[in-house]
Amino acid sequence: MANIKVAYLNILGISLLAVSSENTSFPKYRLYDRDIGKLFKGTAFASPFVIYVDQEATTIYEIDRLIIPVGHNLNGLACSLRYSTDAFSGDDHEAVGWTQGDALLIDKTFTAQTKRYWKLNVTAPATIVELPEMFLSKIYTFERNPSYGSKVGKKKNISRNETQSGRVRRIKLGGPRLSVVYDLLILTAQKTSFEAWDAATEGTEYFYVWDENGIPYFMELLNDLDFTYKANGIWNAHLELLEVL
Amino acid sequence: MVRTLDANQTQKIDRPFLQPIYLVHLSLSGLTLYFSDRNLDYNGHNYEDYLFDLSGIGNEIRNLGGYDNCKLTLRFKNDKILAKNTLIELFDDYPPEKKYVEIYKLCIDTGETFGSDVSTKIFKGEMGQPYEAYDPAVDFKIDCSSMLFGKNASLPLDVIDLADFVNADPDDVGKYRNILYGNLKKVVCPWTVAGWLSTLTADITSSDTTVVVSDSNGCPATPFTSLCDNEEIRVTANTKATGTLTVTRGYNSTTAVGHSKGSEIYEKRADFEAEVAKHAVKSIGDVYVKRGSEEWLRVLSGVTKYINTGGRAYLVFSDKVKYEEKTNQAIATGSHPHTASTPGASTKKCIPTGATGGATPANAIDGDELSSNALGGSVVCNVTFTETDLGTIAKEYIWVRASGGAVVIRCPDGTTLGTYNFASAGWKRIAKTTGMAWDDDVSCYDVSGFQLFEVYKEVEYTPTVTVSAHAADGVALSGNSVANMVIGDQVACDVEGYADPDGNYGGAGNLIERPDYVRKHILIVLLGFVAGDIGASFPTVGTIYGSQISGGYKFAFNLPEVATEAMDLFEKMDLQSRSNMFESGGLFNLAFGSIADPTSQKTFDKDNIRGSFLFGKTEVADIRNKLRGHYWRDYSKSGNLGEKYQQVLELSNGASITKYGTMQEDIEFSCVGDLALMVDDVMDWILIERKELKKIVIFEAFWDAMILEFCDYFVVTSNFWSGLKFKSIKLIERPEDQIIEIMGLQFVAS
Repeated sequence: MANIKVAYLNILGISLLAVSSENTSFPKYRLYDRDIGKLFKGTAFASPFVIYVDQEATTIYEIDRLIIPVGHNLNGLACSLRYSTDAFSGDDHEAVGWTQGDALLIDKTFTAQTKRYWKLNVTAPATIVELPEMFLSKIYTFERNPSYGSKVGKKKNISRNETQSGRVRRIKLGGPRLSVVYDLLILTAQKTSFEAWDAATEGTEYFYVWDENGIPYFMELLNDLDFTYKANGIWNAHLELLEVL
Repeated sequence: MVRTLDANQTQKIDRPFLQPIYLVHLSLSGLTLYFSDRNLDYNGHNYEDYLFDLSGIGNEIRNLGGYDNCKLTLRFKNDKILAKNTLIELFDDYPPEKKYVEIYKLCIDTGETFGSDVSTKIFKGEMGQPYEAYDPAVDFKIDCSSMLFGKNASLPLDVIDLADFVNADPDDVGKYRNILYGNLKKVVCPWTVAGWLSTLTADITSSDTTVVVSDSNGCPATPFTSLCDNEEIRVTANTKATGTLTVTRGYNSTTAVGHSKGSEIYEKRADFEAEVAKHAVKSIGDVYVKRGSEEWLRVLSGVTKYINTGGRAYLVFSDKVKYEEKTNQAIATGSHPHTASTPGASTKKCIPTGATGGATPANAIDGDELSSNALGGSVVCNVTFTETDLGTIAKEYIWVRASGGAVVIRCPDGTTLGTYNFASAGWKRIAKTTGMAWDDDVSCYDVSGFQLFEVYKEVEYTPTVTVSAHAADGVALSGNSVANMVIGDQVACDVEGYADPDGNYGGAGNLIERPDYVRKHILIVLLGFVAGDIGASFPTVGTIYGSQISGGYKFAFNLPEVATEAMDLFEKMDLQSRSNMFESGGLFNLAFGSIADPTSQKTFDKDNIRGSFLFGKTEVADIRNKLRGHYWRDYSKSGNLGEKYQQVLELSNGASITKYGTMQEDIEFSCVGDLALMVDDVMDWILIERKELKKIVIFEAFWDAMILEFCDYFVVTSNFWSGLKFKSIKLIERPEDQIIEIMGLQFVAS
């Protein structure tokens, strides 16, 4: 089993963002609004279609993960994620390149880079590019996985009724969502990481979690994150996570 | 009829679980938003997650006509959208108020790709204003109303005003302009061009040159010609402060006469106009005028009818309006011989009207035989006559009294009649046998000078006989004699209102009068809905209208006289055509009140309702067993029903009266003309509906019952009163648990 991973910072939300073209009804902020399904759309064909990210000079974050959720239309297209230190005027490197083979979630790992400029190139799109989100982040990996009392399950969104005679009538109001309760015994270093994560999202922003099987979920933290001191520098952390559709 | 669903959707509601998605279309000015409570692509649209939930979607109708607003609340997520940080700020740029919202329902299966499924439109209505928008931005609400409620105050009513009709009759200013449907009799037409009119504040004589009127502010610019009785009076100056007009009397060869205080004086025009309708009409029939409280009199001449000029219908009177008064007189054969007897010869003494020449020529024609005109040598005295031609002259004598010598008597052309010696003062008679004329003159001349005392003519003639025009012998008169009308009195006409412009209301060029066509025309042409808003039940019920009585149901009314608000109008039309109009699935639909046993669309029992049946009865106070229907509106009258309507029909039910006592009601058939058969048929139905108490049932059912429409019938299987058939009169769908609240009213066979 792999250690649980979290990606909670999307540098697009704190960077200057430029795109080859933008449909004002589907604006570019939707690339980082953490509302999967609200699409960003271009307005014109361009080869390559470029999403350009400038972290600006103040703080430059290290990046090692690209996630584009279901809803994109990159199937069959050649894509590459590139970085630069000089706005691609001379310094231009590929972090990861691939030809997308399906319409499923895109989850690309690459060697961590602390670079100011990033861009996603989509080569020769045949239709107007549409992306529900572009998550460019640094993975945080749990030092220790849950040790006891953890619960994993699906939370269903069902309304149940009965007729006068007792026949059941059910309404599916929405799809089932992964519900996870983690109880971890952690050391101070992991506690510090959790606190940084909590501070970055402030209980309002959703994030990606890769479970023990390496499957990514877009999730929210339901509870207030607090820590119970056990002994010998060991803390107990309690996390209640619910998948976001 | 129950709502028809796509086969795929029918399958998905016919089972014990359901997965619905609501799709909301907001049609703003220049922007259409596609919202849902989740993000999804469907049918070419990206539906986005800006919606928390919907409140219940429902409506209620009254059994005997009546139309209530449907209220629906949408709760929106106040999230960032487009270039705005919040949705409610976007609505500042694209206001939702009075804009349409359409809601669709799509039932899907888990995991299915539902792109080919057909959603069902369940609502269309107008949005109101956002409210309950909390800060920090989370959500806000917008209430939505039914389509018709949103247009309730949008009937295109218009009044006669001086801005649009500068020469309108002040008595008609403020009156509604006619909007006409069907075949109407004696529709009052307001005067849209009547010109200025006032009254004399005092008697005037035939020679007065100033006239004071009660109000001269509305006068045209001077000079202009006015009429008072039959005298034309030219107004040359107007002192508005005092209402004093400076005038020339007897203008245009009319005779100046005295006029009494209070007489009407008004601007003379050649284009007096009375508006029939603010729209084009199919035809205009007879025209009538009314004077005071007298009966209507038919206008035979002097009026031109315009059925569609500038999009209006109106009458133009070229002069003072003529009307005919029915006298029903008969003239017996031979009572008027219509011949004139030959008159005998007459003699007329002609007095001269002027004289010239001599020292005092007037003395020659002053009738004084002793005063004379002294003529010097070679002086001529010409005496002139101005006489009306009274007939054929047989003889003419010139009488001259003179003294002082021989006098030559001449005709004006110089022809000498003779020389006569007047040695002393005396009369001589000179016969003239040629060139005789009523106005021929006489001249007297002598070279030596003499005294001319007097001259006149005597004419023997046969008078000219004038035989007045007369009807031919043996013709019986029964009808109309012509007289004048005072401008400002009411004018009316028989008229056929709106005609079908495009074949969508009964046939191009046909009169729009069948109740379903009238409703459809009002909805589309007057209120701005589109053909796609009209449900298929309209023509279905229209067929029933067409065959329900001989000749079919027909409406005939002047819209502003019936109602000034849309819902009130449709409510009245519903009752008067034993129907219910309602909105369902975003469409206007119609149902006809059934007397025959209707088909049940669904049976409800303990296996398909939630909770219990709740039974009750209608209120005994609502019983009616004696009805009076007032119909055939007289548009010239106001007051109570008996005064406004020309006919009344009374129906009662003896059994109900015996059981409950007399409980009566007057019903106003304001949309029906003189169609007694229709009134009778509708009143029969109303009596059946109200003569007895009826049972009511209220319960909740599940999504499979959401196919029920208003006025659909269903059967209830229960522990008591089981097997009764009910008509649905209240339906409220609750999306959160897919429950529908149903109220039914018992059907009772006639």
